[in-house]
Amino acid sequence: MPARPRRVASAVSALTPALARTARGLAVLLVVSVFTFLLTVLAPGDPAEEILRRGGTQPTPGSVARLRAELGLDAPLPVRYLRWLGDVLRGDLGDSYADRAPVAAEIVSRVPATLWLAALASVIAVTLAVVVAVRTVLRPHALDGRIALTLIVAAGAVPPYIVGVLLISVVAVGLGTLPTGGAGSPVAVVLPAFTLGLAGAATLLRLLRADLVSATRQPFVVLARAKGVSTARVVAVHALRAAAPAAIATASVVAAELLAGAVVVETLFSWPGLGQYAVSAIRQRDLPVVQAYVLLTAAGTALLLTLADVCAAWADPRIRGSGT
Amino acid sequence: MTRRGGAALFAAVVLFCLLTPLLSPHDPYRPDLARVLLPPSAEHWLGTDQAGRDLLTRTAAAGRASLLFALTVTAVTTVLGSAAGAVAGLARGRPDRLLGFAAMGALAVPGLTLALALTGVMGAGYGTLLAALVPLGWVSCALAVRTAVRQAAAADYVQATRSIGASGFYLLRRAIAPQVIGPALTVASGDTGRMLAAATSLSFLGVGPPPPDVDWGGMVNEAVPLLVAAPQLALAPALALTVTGLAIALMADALRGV
Repeated sequence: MPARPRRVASAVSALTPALARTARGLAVLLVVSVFTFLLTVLAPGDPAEEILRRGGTQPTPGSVARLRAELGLDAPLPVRYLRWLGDVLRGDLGDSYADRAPVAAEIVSRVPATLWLAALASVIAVTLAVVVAVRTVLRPHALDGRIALTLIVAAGAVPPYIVGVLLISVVAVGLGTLPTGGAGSPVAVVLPAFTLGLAGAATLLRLLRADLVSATRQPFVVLARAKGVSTARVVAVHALRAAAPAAIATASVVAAELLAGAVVVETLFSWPGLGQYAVSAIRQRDLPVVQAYVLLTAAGTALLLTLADVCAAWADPRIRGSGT
Repeated sequence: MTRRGGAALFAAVVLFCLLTPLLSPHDPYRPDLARVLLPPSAEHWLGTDQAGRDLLTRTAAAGRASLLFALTVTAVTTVLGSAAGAVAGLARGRPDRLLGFAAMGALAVPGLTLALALTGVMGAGYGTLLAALVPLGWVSCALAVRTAVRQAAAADYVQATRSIGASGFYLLRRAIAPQVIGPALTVASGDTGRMLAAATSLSFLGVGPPPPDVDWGGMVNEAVPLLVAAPQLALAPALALTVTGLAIALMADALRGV
């Protein structure tokens, strides 16, 4: 049989679901963008009046009309939506009501802090989940594994800010070792990252453990064991690999949750990231900032979920090898 | 044993939250600047907070607000979600696809994002909280009910009932509903925990119920500036919420049969 057409066909068949998922992700994003745009329309009060009042001037009918014309608020809704979408696609997220500064610039300056926090939290979550899952499946009765399992599951049962408060009281106040807020020193990220990571670890651990247990009963794992592969290697390599795709799908959901949970953790630890910016904007009802935040979070989530699909296919030889 | 443990713990929390404000001689809301930050004593078992309010009474009153709100939202989302799931599960076709798309959209905006957006637009308040948390909560129940309805509708005894000429409503009420209530309640118990976490998180961010009402998240929010000087102010609501969260998680696990 000729090898080349088959390889092309398998590449196409591997791509089609990815394309379908991308298209679906784009459709969801479009709906989210309409919703985000409608936020300003549904909000009580006139944006032009709001801006003038926050600028410190008493709005008069004349000045409001002038600003409305300048902002393009008199155009029909679909036109305004398309204009807004065009601006967004060109990277213009509008100006903040509070200080009329461009929202995009402020967001760009804050993204590194949030990404750094979320990346570190993800590493902590994945490491904790994998280590504890493997340990508790290998040695179900070992005390250290059971204590770690209980602590992580308990951390998952309460919202992240509570975990943060408990961590601060124990580590920072009790032991007096780590800073509790700001980004002044390099170690300041440790407590917020752990707070965020623990929340993610709980979800991940629960699923990974269930998958690992069912994977250890699969025929190829039994075969590996019968060949004389050590128990540790069977669980850590064979079973973990089989459990990986489901865990990656979960990991993307967890990562998306981290993105959202960062809001709370950043506020608690005064971490100068996106979440803190969003929360202060929400308290002041600074709509362009709120809009940008919702849009970015939704876009980030869609991106994460699509990425996870691709990674899951790569991690599982049964999916990757299909068709060849 | 775990099942009883979770339920007993939850009952203890509810009793504490309901009885303490009734039995305590202190007002959980009225500030008393002559008694600011008192240490624990026979009169104030946990001491007083930065506005001179009894910490124990205030924690219980905040718990009453937190639990009442979480249970109300869960009741609303369970009813709405069950209705949507039942229609989608029975009718298939277009309603089913609509539910699928709505669920995907709701999941694309994770966690508190939607709640925060609505609060940013509408301002803080109970109405906003309800409008913000219902879209977050209905999906899980709708999907669980849809699956359960589909499974039940395919069962032989339902087919048999249908074959003797039973109407759609009769089928739903007598043959399908009994199979669906279990999964719906299981999801609802987990949702109560999620709604408790979400609602108190919003209060923690300062966009919860308007003062003087306060829930556990609001208490932590007030206590954060004093976290180093007076950690007990944050620890009391934090520990109360931890115990409640654990109790709900244990109950949900027991219902799920873990």
